[in-house]
This record gives sequence, structure tokens and C-alpha cells, in this order.
Amino acid sequence: MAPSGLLLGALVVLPLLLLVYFSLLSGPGVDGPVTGGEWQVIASNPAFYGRLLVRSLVLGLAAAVLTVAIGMPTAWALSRHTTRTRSLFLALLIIPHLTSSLLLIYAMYVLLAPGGPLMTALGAAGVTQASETILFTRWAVLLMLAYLFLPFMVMALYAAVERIDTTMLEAARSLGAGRWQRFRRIVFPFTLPGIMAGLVIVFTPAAGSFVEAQILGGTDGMMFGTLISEQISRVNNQPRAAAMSVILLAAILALLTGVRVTAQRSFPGALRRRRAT
Amino acid sequence: MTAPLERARRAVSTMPDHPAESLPTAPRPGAAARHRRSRRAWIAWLWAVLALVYIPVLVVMAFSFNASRYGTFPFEFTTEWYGELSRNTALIDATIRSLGLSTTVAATAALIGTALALWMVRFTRFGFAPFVALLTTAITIPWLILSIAMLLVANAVGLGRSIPLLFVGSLAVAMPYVVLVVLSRLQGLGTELELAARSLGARPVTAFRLVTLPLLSKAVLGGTLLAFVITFNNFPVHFFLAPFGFNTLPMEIYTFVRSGYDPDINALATVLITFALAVGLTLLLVARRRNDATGSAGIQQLLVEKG
Repeated sequence: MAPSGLLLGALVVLPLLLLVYFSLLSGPGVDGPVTGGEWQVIASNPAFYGRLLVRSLVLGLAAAVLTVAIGMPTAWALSRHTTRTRSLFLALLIIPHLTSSLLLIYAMYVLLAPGGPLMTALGAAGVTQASETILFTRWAVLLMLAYLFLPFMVMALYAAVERIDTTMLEAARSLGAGRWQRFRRIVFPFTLPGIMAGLVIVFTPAAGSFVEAQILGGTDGMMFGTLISEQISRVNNQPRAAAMSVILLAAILALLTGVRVTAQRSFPGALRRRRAT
Repeated sequence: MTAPLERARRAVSTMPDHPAESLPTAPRPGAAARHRRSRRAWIAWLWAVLALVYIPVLVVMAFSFNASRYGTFPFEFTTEWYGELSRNTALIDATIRSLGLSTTVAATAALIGTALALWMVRFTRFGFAPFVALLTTAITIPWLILSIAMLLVANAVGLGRSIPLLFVGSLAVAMPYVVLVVLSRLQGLGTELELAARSLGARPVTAFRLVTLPLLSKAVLGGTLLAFVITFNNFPVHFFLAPFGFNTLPMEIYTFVRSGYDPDINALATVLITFALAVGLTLLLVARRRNDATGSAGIQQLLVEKG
């Protein structure tokens, strides 16, 4: 059985480590000499690559914040106000996401299309013109990412909200804490581990996504991941794809660490690991 | 850094002094009605979220019955697109390919993943925390980056895009989920039951087969389903690792979608989502029946023990 552990290491860790080596080669394949030329190319155009990288990170973070904003009351309602219907709600929420994310991206495309149902309805209501749509902008990408990852955020938050001890809330109420104070002092700190878990689940794949932007984003919503994928599928510059992947992964990990440290500073003790007894 | 205790003390000190009658020991008149109203608002919120999630899905389902090829109004009912879908061999072949890939990957992931979880719990001297860290890392890395890393390794060793590479890549993504699901069940299980069987004279293999394996079966099944769904849905891995010409369903949808609105995809989306809803809700019903049964059995057992 020991080899299965080695297998996993070989399948996941080794390729990621080799990615750094591949990024130093000179393209287009991965059999050239080590020159580091692709890093120089990227460094010589910081405005272009930097802008796309920042957009990917901001879109990923915005999607995470949006899913927390919608997911928090949803998780609360699920854990406190449903009993028998709870698993039905969770199942209905997640089932469409189990088919294929491509189908959901297509569904969003149909919904937002100029002259499509949403725009026609908004046009009839006099809000906008039927031809003015957010399709092919970064807003469509943000909407799509939040839509795709909402169920997973709800799951992560639900697991945390459910563990909050009701007696603690009653104690706070009996000591005179109002709604907002109970949320800020008890519910939020206790949900923080769930929010951090949800952040990893949502932010990481969202910042590293590429199809959503390719189909819905147009040039305005192009992401760093889209550019990486095109290095492989169109340009065939494998060392540059490797270098950009290393940059994206490092940026994602740095941002996650930053958020975690900030959360730990602002709510000391809330993220401390509790040992199961 | 402030100590948690200090923070708690400050929190209490900022709360207003409150007269005793606001203690929840004696509910005031109207509290029950207010509670009922707030509960109704929360449930309404849940339905609203579900409605938002289902709007795009329902729109596509409705359009699958619309006669216009370009998704324009006025709406005219037709089932023509379902006929066209049944003649779309590219989509049907891709569906069969995807099902075959997902089944083999899920079965392999279940076998190796369960073995790995057992090994981690039973045979590692130094604890399995580093393995759990490795698994969670494997799960959190964006599939785009992981699949590009694997493609470049395959290119470097001369394997290139191929079916074995697609299989191995899908396995690498799906297996950690199986391990984590089975592992959490194994941790909850403990070793007492197996030891009890051993003390009654069962040999290690027999004890494992008769005691631990049946108790694990639900977790293994859950992990396998998860692996199947993830493999079926894993567009980045398919996109970068599958050999040219070997299009899985997500890849086929991708090529159709890139050319814009397509009534065939509407029909396909309707079929797939309806199928997923039917399977999912049936599983939910079955699980609920069984839980009710075991729940009542547990209560009976409790009564026996107490009496």
C-alpha cells in the first residue's frame, strides 16, 4: 500500500516542481536549453502581464466575497430554520453543478445574450436597452464565477454555522447583546474557519479559471488563465505557459496567506485548530 | 495581540446594562408570532437563492422547445431539437467516451484511494498529518495549472497527449477526494470493533472483511460517486491531456459553444440536468428512508439499554 502514497506524490508534487524547471527552458517545446528567456520576456512587459494577473486575482476575490455575502444568510437559514427540507435544499442547490460547468457557462451565455431573455425583459421594463448587455465584459465573468462556486461556499459555511452553540447566542442575548453585536462577536468569529475554507475552495479555482473568461469575457474580461491556456492551445510556447503558471500559483498562495494572516490578527484565536476529542 | 479573554471582557463591558425583564426566561407576548414571521422570511430567502440558481437552467430548458434556430422570439413550441440531438453522433460518442473514462477512473480511484486511506491510518508510524496536507494541496491547486504541469512532464518524457495520460491525470485529480472521504470515516470508526472481532478469534483478514469493510462501504461509495462526478466534469484536464480527436463531452460542448447559440446543446443540457436531478433526488429519498429506519433502530437500542 505504501506505493500508492508515492504515486500521489509522483502525480501531483513532482509535475509542479518540474514546472519551475520547464519555465527556465527556451521554447517552444520542453527540450531546449536552460536560458530563462521567458522570464525576461514577461519581466519586460510588466504592464500587460501585471494587469491580467491583478484582474484574475481581483475577479477571484470578488467572486469569493460575493458567494460569502449570498452564502452566509443561506447557510444560516439552512442550519437554523430548516429540518426535514435541509438536505432537499442542499441537493437542489448542487445538482445542476454536477453535470458540466460548460453547460452552465453556456446557459449564462444564452441568458445574457443581446436580445436574449434577460435583456428583452429588462428592455421591456425600461431599465436598459435590449442590446446593452454585460456579456463579453468582466462583469459577466464575475457573475459566472460566483454562480459556479456558490454551492461549494454554502457547503463550507453551513458546516461552520451548524457548529455554533445556540446557548452561547442565548447567553449573549441575555447579557444584552443586540442582533449586530451577536453577529459580530459570536457568529462571525465562529464562522471564520468556514469562511477561510470557503475562500480556498472558491478563490483558488476562480482565480485560476480560463474557460469562463474565454466564452463570456471577451477582451474586456480576459484573465491570466486564458492567456496561459492559449500559450498551449494556440501559440505553443510551453516554457512561457510554465512560467505564467508558476507566477499565478505563487500569487494565489501569497494572497491566501495574506488574508489568513489578516484574519488571524483581527480575530485572535478564532482560527486556532480545535482538536476533536 | 490581545488575548481572547481580554477581548471577551471588553465585549461584555461595551454591552449596555440590561434590566432583568429582558432575560429570555419569560417570553414576552408576541415573541412566538415574531419568531414564526422571521422563520418565514429565512425560508423565503432560501427559495429566492434557489430561484436565482435555476434561472439560467430553466431558460435553456425553455429554449430547447423553441423552434427558432437562433433563440429569438416569438416562442414556438417544437421537439425538433431532441430529434436532432439523437442524430448528433459527435455529442453521443463524446457522452459514451466521457462515461467510460469517468467509470474507469472512479473505480481505480476507489480501489487505490481506499487502500491509501487504510495505509495512512494503520501503518504510518509518524502520523498522517503530512499526507492530509499533501492531499488538500492536491485538491486546491487550480486544475489549469496541474494539468499543464502534467502535460509538460508527458511532453518531456515523450508520452505526449494520449489516453493513458488523460487517465492518469484524471486519477491524480479524483483520487485525493476518495482518500479524504474514506479517511474521515475511518477516523470516526476507531479500531475497537475490529479488535473485538479479533478477540473473538477472527483472523486479521476476516475481521477486516466482516467488520471494517461493511462499515466503510458507504464512505467508499460516496467517494467513488464524487470521483465520477469530478472526472466527468473536469474540462481543464480533458482539454490539455486528451489526444487530438478524443473529445470528451465537456470538450465537445466547448467546441459547440464557441460558435455561439446552439439548439442541440439546449436539448442536451435539458436531458443531462433532468437526469442529474432525477438521480440525485432518488438517492436523497433512498438515503432518507434508510436513515429513518436506522434512526428508529437506534432509538429502540437506546430503550433496551436504558430498560
